[in-house]
Parts: sequence; structure tokens; C-alpha cells
Amino acid sequence: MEIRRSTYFVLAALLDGPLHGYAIIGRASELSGGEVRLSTGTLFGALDRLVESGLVEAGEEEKVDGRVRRSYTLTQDGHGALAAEASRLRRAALVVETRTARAAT
Amino acid sequence: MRRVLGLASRTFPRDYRARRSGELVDTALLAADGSAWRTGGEALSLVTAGLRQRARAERGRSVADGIRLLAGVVALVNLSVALAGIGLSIERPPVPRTYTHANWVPPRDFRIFVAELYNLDWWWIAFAIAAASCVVGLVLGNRRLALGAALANLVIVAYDEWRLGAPFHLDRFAYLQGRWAYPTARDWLAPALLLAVTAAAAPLRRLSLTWLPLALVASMVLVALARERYAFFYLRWPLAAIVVVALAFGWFAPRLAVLAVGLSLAVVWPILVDSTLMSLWGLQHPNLVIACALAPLVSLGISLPLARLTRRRLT
Repeated sequence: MEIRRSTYFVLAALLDGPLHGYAIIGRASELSGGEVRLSTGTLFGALDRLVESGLVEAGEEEKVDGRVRRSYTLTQDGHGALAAEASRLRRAALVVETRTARAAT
Repeated sequence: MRRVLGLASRTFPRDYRARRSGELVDTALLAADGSAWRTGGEALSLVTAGLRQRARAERGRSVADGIRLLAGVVALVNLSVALAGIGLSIERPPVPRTYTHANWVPPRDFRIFVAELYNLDWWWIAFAIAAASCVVGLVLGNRRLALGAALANLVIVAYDEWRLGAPFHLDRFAYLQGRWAYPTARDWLAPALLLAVTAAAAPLRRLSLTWLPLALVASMVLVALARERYAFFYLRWPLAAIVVVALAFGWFAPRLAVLAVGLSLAVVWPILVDSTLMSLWGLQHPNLVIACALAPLVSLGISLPLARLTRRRLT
């Protein structure tokens, strides 16, 4: 199953541990070198789909500094799906890289 | 900024909003970081996501939800017919010197006929009370009131059409438009029957009382939309528009498919039958135009949503 670019970085942002919504936006932007800038609507759309498909688990809602937040954690299936997607991207990149290198030599 | 984002988050379905609204707005506020431009962008993204969420929720609705929606729409349209009829009693059209629609004018003094036609009699008052009570019953989720009012509404409409005889009360909408008008004569029997059936079958639930003034406003808007000069001619076009919208979205939303089937059967179909019958009787009815315009709409309005619903039940 192919994962959208923004969803890929949402999953990747959760690799280091649970994060809340705004932290996911920041981490995804950081990991993608600023290329993926998630808006709140896009983030929650992606999170809803990921929670529904069991790749991410939503925690309980909590109030920190007067702001409502909820932590999201990558599940075992989420780890698997992310690893599979990374492998697919690596293979796809390899096809181009080997041919480009062969053409250059 | 919180207010703007709060308003944008209202595009999400109510149950989703109840669970996630605080989290959504606070995350968007942090992401906007005090910038007015970014707040605008975040608000737009919330609106888009909210509408997408609504579309997803719509896909999960049942046929029973569709019957409830159909009951609500027919009740509103029924109320608008009653209000438009009473409105014509208050603001009577002028009596023309010559009358051209000779095919149904009775053989008596035309001025008396017009005065009788626009008289605010017990029938209109009873029709309006029954129509309004049905809307109130549906909003309150009170089956006894909704069904009782819908049955009373059906009896009132049927009484006019069978017992009182021509000119029918609804003929006041035909005064200037003649054969083009809608609803006239027996046109309203099928919607009244549909209202009674759906009020009996729909799984009712109590809505917020703010729906009562909203329902009144919606009926008034429909009156304004449907109103031609001193008549109610264009009601068929708002109804056709509802059927077209229901058809367009009925593919993924079962309750809109039910709405398309119900309105096609109750409203569009009688127009088609009426135009064909008038043509058979040799009356000057623009049946060809109507039949050509409505036949595909009726066929699609009934067959496509039915196919959609059947596929849904089988899978």
C-alpha cells in the first residue's frame, strides 16, 4: 500500500515516541527539511485515517497550559507500514540511482 | 483568532466536534503563531477538513436517516405551500379585464370566482395549522404529533381535491400562470401522502428548538424562491434542484438517494403524468417540453438512487 508523502512524514515524526498535534507538525517539517508543511486540517485528516487503520493510537485528551492536546503513538502495525514504505521508496530510488550511475560511467 | 478558528471548526460534524473541537482549535492556534495570514490559512484548512469529514460521515448514514430527511424536506415544502397560499389571500392579484385561460374557468361571473378563489377560508387555516404542527412534531421528535398532523394534512388536501371539487384551493397558484402553475388541483395529494408515510416510518429524534425558527425561515425562503408574480409557479424548479443535488450526491450518500427517490415519485412524477393526461385530453399543455425535460430527470431520480441503495444492501 502506497502512503502519501505527508502521511509518511506524520508516521516518521512518531518514530521517536508519542507526540501531540502541534509537535507532529513541527517534527514532520523538520524531518522533511521544511518540505512538508502540514496545516491543522491536513494533519487531523491524516491522523483520523491512521487511527482508523490501526497504524496510530490516540491517547486521552489532556489540558496543558490551558490548551487541549492529545498524544499520538505509532503502533506495531504503524512501524511495519512505515518500514515497508521506506523500503519501497529505497528500491524506487535505487532503480534511478544505479541507471544514472551506469550512464555516467 | 480563536473565534475565527472556532467558527471554521463548525464545519465538522457535531459529534466529531464534541470530541475534537478543543484539540483542533488549540493546535491551529499554535500553528498560526499569532499571524493573521496563517490564521486564515489554518481556518481554510479546518473548513476543508470539516467538509471532508462530513462527506465521510454522510457515507455511513442509513436508509432510515434518509427517510427522516425526506420527511423533513416534504414537511418544509408543505408548510411553504400553506404559507404561500395564505400570502395570496393577503396580497390578492388584480382581476384582469379579460381572462384567457378559458379551459377551466367556471361559467359564472369571473370577479366572484376570483374573490372566492382568494378567500382565506377554514381550509387554508386548517392546512397551515396541520403543516406547521407536522414540522413542530418532527423537530420535537414527537411521533404522535408529527403523524397526527401529517394524517390531518392528508385528509385536508384530499377533502379539497375530492369532496369540494373544482375550483380547488390550490388553483389560486394557477391564476396567472394557468397550465404552467404548480402545485394546482390534485398535484399536492402525492406529497401529502408521502409526508404521512415518512412521518410514520422515520426514526424520529428530538432536535434543538433553534430548528423551529430555522424551519420557518427555510419555508419562507422557499416561498420567496418559488414565487412568481402573484403565483407559485417556480416551486417545481426548487424541487427539481433538490432532486438534482440529491442525485449528484446520492451516489455516496444513501440518505440523499432516498431523498431523490421520494421527491421524484411524489413531486416530479405527478407533473409528468398530469402533462401527459392533459395532452391525451387534447388540452393545450406544453407536454412535449415538460416531458422532454422531466422524463430523464424522473428516470434518473428513481433508478439511480434505487440502484445505489440496492448495491449498498447487497454488499
